[in-house]
Amino acid sequence: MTTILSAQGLTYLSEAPRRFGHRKHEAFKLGPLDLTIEKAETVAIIGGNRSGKSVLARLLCGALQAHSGEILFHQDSPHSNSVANQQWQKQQVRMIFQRSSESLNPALTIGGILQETLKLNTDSTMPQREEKIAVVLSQVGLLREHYFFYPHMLSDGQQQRVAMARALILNPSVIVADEPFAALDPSVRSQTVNLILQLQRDLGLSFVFISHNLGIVRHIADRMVVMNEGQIIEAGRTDTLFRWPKHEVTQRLISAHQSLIPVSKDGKRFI
Amino acid sequence: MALLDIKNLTLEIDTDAGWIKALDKANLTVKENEIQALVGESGSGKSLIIRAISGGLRQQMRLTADRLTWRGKNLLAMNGEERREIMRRDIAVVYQDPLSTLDPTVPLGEQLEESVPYEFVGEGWFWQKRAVRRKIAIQLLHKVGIKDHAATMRSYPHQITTDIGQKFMIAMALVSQPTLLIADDPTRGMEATTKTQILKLFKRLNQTKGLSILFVSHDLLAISSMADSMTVLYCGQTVESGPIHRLQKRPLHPYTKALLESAPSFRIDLAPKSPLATLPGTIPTLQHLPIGCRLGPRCERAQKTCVQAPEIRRVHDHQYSCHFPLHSKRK
Repeated sequence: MTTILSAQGLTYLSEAPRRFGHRKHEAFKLGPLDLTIEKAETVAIIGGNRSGKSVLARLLCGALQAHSGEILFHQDSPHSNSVANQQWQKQQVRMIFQRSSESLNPALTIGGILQETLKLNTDSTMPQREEKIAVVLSQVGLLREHYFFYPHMLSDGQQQRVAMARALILNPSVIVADEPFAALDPSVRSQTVNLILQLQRDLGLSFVFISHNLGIVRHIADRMVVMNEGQIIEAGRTDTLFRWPKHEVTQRLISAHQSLIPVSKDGKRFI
Repeated sequence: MALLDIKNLTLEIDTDAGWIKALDKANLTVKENEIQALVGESGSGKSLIIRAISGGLRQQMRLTADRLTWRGKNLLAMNGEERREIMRRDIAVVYQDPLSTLDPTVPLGEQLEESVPYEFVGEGWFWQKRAVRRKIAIQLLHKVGIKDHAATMRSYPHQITTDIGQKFMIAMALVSQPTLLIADDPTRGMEATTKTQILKLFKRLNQTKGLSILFVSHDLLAISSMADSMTVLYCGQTVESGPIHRLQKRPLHPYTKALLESAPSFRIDLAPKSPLATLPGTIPTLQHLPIGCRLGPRCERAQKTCVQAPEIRRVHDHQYSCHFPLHSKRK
């Protein structure tokens, strides 16, 4: 396997809003942490509240600037000059936000939302853009007509697909998703899971996703990263971590999940 | 006798397109000392059932039911005062979004102390009463697993995180020591450890205090770990209900089966990364509900007769409404 993205010594400090009479103090510290992402693999980030999962996701996709450390991209760039190179790298990591219904602009049609991304990041012409949008819409299982729909006209699952289309449209190699399944109903959720698996198979994408749902993590992730208080405390293959969790926090999370799975009378896990 | 008994509850909403049946002959029974789960996807009318029970329906909704009783007393025939009395003493509801149901202008502690009923406070001067209220409030917060009670009671709703808010709402609901607790999606978006804490708390309350719980959720993993029986709703129709182990072992309705299969944790034999079983299509919107069995267009076993709504059939205490149930001997 080839490494596609690696982060070294990544740190991030967020400061609490300054209150009158109080001294400025740091509210949250992330890192320093190291992380590598291979090509076409799925990495799940799990951890408790305020463990820095979302911050890490935002750092990876460039929505937040790291205070120190660097994110390296191990792939040959088509551009020679460094500015275009940086621009290109940013396009290679795209993000899907937690609630797709809130991250889509209600005043634009689906076509408008997708056009915007292309207009800002590429210098393609209108017909090229339309063609690209049609391709991406069919990739995520939407119809060509959805181009003219507004976000409120779509169901939760379809909105999630639009968010996915927006992430895919720049041909990224890594997609970072912040709790993509949390707001979805069970049957729509499995449709989305299937879509992700299929896209990964077809396009060779790497996925980084954050989830509370350990059942799905176990199902789709190759590797797992466990975070606690801004640090990576354990990382490894999903199967290994589920069977032999080493760190106390991981053990707690996994045993909490296991305790929910019903056990049938003969001692086997329920099928 | 059943604590709460709902039979053929139909709820219609007045829209531009005429009256729409948001709930179509829904049935639900909660027995004493039982944890009953109500499962359904969004838009299936779970929250509407809760509203119908608590009497918080909007003006443009019309409610008809063959039976809507609380301990044998008809809730629909009661006047507002009697009904409020039941809602205050016997039934407690934890609503879906804790942060929007709390008063944003009052600190949490004050809200909790205010909801302590008079009879628990006892006699005394106002400062003594205040102390008792405070003590009860702190005990409750500890009970639901909020360790730092002082900080929580001081803060306003927007200052706390969602899972603390959820726990706080449960504490608010338990303050009047109800007989039935209705929890509307109490574990949504929680991490695994907090979720198990809450579920254990519910289970413990059920076993020690004999509290009945109506647990509304679509988290099947949580439900299967604690509930005794389950009712499945799809688009306002009750599809299947019965003891949970029976439903899990032999679901008779195709929708129940699809729902159970959508959770990968139930299927340890499933190879990682293999596609999950899904129903095709999406949940129909209220304006475009299919006639007859509402699962019809998405169901692979559907036939011509499915345009007529199926009657409820029962096998012992397992009820289902489907013309072509799974595992049936009849061809």
